[in-house]
Amino acid sequence: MTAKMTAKKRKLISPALRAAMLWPHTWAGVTLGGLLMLIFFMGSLAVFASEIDRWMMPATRVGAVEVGPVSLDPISLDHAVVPVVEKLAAGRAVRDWFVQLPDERRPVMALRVRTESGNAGGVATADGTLLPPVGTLGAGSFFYPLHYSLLLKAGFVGYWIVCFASVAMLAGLISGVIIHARIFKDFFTFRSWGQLRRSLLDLHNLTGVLVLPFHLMITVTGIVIVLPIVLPAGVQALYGGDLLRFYDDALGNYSRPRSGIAAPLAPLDPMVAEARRLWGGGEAAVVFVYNAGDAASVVRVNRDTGDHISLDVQPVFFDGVTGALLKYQAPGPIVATHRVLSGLHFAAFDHWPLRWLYFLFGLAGCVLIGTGMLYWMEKRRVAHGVTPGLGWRSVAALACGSTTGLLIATLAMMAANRLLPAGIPSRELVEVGVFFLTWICCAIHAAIRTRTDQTPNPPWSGQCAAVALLAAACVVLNWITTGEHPGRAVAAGDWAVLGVDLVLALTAAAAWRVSRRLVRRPDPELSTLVKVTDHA
Amino acid sequence: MKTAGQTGSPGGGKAEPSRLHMAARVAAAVFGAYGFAWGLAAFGAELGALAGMAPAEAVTASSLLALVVLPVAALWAFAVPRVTVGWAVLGGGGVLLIAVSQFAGMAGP
Repeated sequence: MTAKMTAKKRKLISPALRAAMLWPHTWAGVTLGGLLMLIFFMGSLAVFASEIDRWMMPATRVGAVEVGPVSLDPISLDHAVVPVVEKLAAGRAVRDWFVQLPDERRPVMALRVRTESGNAGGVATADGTLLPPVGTLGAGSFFYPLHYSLLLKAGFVGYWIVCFASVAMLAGLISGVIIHARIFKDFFTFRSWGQLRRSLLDLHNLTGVLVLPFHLMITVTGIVIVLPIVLPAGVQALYGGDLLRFYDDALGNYSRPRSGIAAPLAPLDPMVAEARRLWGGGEAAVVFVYNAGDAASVVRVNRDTGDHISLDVQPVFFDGVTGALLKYQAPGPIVATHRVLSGLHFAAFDHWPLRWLYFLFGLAGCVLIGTGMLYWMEKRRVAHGVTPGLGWRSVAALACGSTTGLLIATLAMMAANRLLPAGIPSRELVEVGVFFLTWICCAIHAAIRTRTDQTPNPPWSGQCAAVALLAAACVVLNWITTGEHPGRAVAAGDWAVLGVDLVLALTAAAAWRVSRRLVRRPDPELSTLVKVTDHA
Repeated sequence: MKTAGQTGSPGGGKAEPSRLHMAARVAAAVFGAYGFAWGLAAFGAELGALAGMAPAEAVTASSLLALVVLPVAALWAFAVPRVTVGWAVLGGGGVLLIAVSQFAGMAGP
């Protein structure tokens, strides 16, 4: 049976098919590799967005350090949250508001209020004390949206670009498997000695094969989350293109317009209690109040998804004036499947070993993409001889800018986060400015140095040294500005800050080693490069 | 993997294919495959609705199916020996599926 299967497989994956797959695999990687690197890197950071947020918003570390576990005792919305909403509104009439309740990883609550004249947001402790503005978008509102939308929200342009790159990633993974038919041998193949180019190919194949199931899963489920937006064919056919109506129907959402008649809000705590009864356990994660102060107000209670894979937040809708249940509808089996697939991507479930695996496998995706680009560069260098063409230089600069450049920009933003004074206007935008400016400078640096060097190669060692110095600086700056050095973090049980500091320190050490080794490495001799042949 | 089995000798070979030829393939892989997936999702949604599925269920099921087909269809545009065949199947198939789903939509409710 197996012999027959292999024979059939051999026939399916003919040498001609493998040859035909090489072109799209190569060029999808070369053209979209930089973008995919950004998506994979920021996605990996997003796994620990809450922890990075604690690091970047020292004022919000209070809960973990001083109050202890807060999520055990559900906080009172009526006593702790509603007064904060009124404080944020500052006398203006509130239209809608929502609160993300504290949880194990975020010991503070985050509020967003829409009033008749402008929006307001804030962070408050579990007992309802409004904290000073955090002054940063942090990982949750910058790194994470960069991962899925490139911060291009208008017309879902960002979703379209990211999903296009993701489909290319899928095609790259599938074509990679076809090109590279001897998958199982490569579990045991990594030749770190000798030729750089062969090592790169081995590392590319090794990460590609070992982490293939994760990469397939994470790429597919990433598109699945926004599938009705990027492939709205079905919504067009059955809902006349009305996305909102589809989501209302699929996810059991409920909405109604304002009535214009003023009415007070009913107590929220009994609604949360009723929602928990309907769920049969679990915790409330987010509470929305739509049409606040209106006779048609609606209260929505979302469930925390930490105790299951599915991203189904099981929303329960109440009449805001009477407190009566309006809607609680379980999704159908296929929508429920969609929610589980989405949940697999989000990894919002409470499981620390899996979070680390998601983080490391995501970074393995960066290795896969990066080694692919490096391999192309090394191979092309041979084809081009001593003076590579403009295309080669562009890819070299792109590869450098999207790997070390991206790291430098991220670390520069984190350093700026610790260095900028608290009071400066639009502090969060200054941080974002630092990120993009540093990134652009790194790309320009890479482009210039690649062009003028004797043996063309991007300035890897210089940028690696910059990564090392910035990462080390971040640890020191966190110590100086917050007084929380690793020793104190251990004593206080502040694992979030300790973890970020440790990863920063590891990054610094690794980048420094790489930088020193690259300086010592003799430039590759073209004569020996030309001699080597390999199969892809 | 039925598509892969159909590839006898893909175009190109040793000779470098022209830029126009590769552009046609890339366009087929990007727009042809997306059009085909669109047709599949629209047709599947209508079919599901006619078969009595809840609309949201039918939309989700057909979209998920189309998403699986999309990258395979895109790669097939590079594997098919003649790019015109690729365009005919992906583009033509997409248009046909959309037309049928439009018709089903008019006949259905």
